[in-house]
Amino acid sequence: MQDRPTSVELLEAAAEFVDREIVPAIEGARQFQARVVANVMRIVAREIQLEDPAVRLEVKALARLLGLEAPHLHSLDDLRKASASMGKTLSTRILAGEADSGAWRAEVLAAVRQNVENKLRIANPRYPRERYRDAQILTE
Amino acid sequence: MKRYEENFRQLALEPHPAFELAFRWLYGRVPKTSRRTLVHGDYRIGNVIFGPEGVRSILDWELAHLGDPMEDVGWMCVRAWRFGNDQKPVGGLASREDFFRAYEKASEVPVDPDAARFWEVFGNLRWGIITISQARTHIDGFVKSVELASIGRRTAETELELLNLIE
Repeated sequence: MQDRPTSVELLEAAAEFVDREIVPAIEGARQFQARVVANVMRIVAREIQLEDPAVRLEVKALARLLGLEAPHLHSLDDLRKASASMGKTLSTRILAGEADSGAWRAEVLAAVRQNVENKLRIANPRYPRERYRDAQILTE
Repeated sequence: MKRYEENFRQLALEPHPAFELAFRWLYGRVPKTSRRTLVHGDYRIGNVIFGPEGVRSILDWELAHLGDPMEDVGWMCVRAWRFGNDQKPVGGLASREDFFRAYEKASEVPVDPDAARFWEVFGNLRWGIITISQARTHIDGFVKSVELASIGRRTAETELELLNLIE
């Protein structure tokens, strides 16, 4: 157990410093890179907060879509591996034309959209602006 | 399209079901065009120099090739060039309809909206694959850069745009 500040608080402090003190002090390409640095820190801060619920939802949704029993996994690493493996199976089935039409296509589109939206809640919650203002809420 | 698909399969480190859906959509809709013209290949506002008198120059011809002129029209509509101004799909500056009309007037080449749509979807997919390849340039250590690294997290933006276009 580490002392406060938390990892998220540390990253936010560092990003704030880059935005307030570094970005206005430099110009051109280096200024752009500094903005990217602050943005990267904020992505990591959101990921620390949101990855766990996001990947749990993803694994559950993919299992349902593929007609598999939802695996009972606890560690984040196992969840990531399950998501990657089921994502690969889904990709193979799409490639084989199984989602070209019919009822399953609608289910696939809805599940894929939910996963992409949850990736964006971490990577870029302002994209598109009107829909991702609240980065805290994950939809099931 | 085959070349980009090969790149995608070689470079992607994670599954991208949204891209698979886009490939299926595209392979079923390849436009039947007999027209082959010079295609710029990276035609967007960022590659045009303007002066007070109008267009001065068009840059970056290294992707030029012979092909369907609608490829450049579709590429102009790709979301990445709108810089947040989604109300104006063509480079954040115009509606598709206004741009198509101006294009027809200037070129006397009719715009086929279905073909333009095909190339817009292909363009977004192509940009998505480029984001994967730029991230790989960093991950594999060819060029270490925070900018290239962060582009890897922009792939999801193109996935969402593709879902909006093909649904």
